[in-house]
Amino acid sequence: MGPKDRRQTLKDLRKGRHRAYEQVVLWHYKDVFRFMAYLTRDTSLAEELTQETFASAWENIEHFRGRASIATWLHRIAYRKFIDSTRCLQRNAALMAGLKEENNNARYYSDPLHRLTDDEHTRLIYEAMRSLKQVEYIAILLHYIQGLSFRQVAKVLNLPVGTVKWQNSRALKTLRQYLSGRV
Amino acid sequence: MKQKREKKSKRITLKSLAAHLRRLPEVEIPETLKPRLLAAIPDMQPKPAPAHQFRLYHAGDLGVTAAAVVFIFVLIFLINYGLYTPSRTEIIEFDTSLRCTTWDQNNFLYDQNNTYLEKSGLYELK
Repeated sequence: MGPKDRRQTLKDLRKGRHRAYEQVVLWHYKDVFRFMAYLTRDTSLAEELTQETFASAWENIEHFRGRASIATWLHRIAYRKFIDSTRCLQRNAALMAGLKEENNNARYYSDPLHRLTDDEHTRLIYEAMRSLKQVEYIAILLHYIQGLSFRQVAKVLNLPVGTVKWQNSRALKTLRQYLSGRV
Repeated sequence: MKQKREKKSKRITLKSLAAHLRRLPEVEIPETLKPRLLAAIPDMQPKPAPAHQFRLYHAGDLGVTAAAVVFIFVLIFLINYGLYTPSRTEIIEFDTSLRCTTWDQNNFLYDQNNTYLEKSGLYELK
């Protein structure tokens, strides 16, 4: 998608053209779902949050000025949705405590990443990623897996670019430390 | 020495680690997700672009502001200098000689020594 396409899509979105909405969904739904899958590690929750992200985007389309790219904007909404859902889950944690044992097994099979861990090398990288702090994990995820630039990651996380770069570098060093000798 | 070298060669570099992260396998996307997202697109009525309205509103606002600024400047000018009256040059007998002088806007006649006569007083002399 070139900058010209982006501008045209943005114009069409503001005019309320259905085709433009479809185009945005087709361009970005995989990215948003992947982001949610890595964050939640739960297919159904990731699916639900992806739908909520797009619904929220359509509701607030008038506030989108086009200063950031559509991808950055959608990732930012997705990240907020994830934070909201985490808070909601924490609130319900006490209620869920009793069901935890039963859920653990089901959760493993609903984890969208567990099918990718057949390969030993990939499994080790996922394990290493799980050892990271949440902010570092999200920074690594947005930059290396989602393919956003440091500037875009900074916009999504609402942090200075320097902080994001530092977190990425620290996370990479932690990953290397974890993986050294195992890979 | 040999052990050290082997250890070093086993150590993964940051660059290769970054490359590994970029090449991680793609997450499986549920087949039902795409149709669901497409079905959830709201039916929007075509409407004028808000950006355009925003610009018009500002243009109007700017005009009103500019007019107000001009009006204030005119008001200040009028208060300071009064309404413009063209100066009149007359040949008049003043201080026992004929001189070409100008009446200022307040009808005062000044001579070379900066003494002045009011127009009404001069007529009284006549």
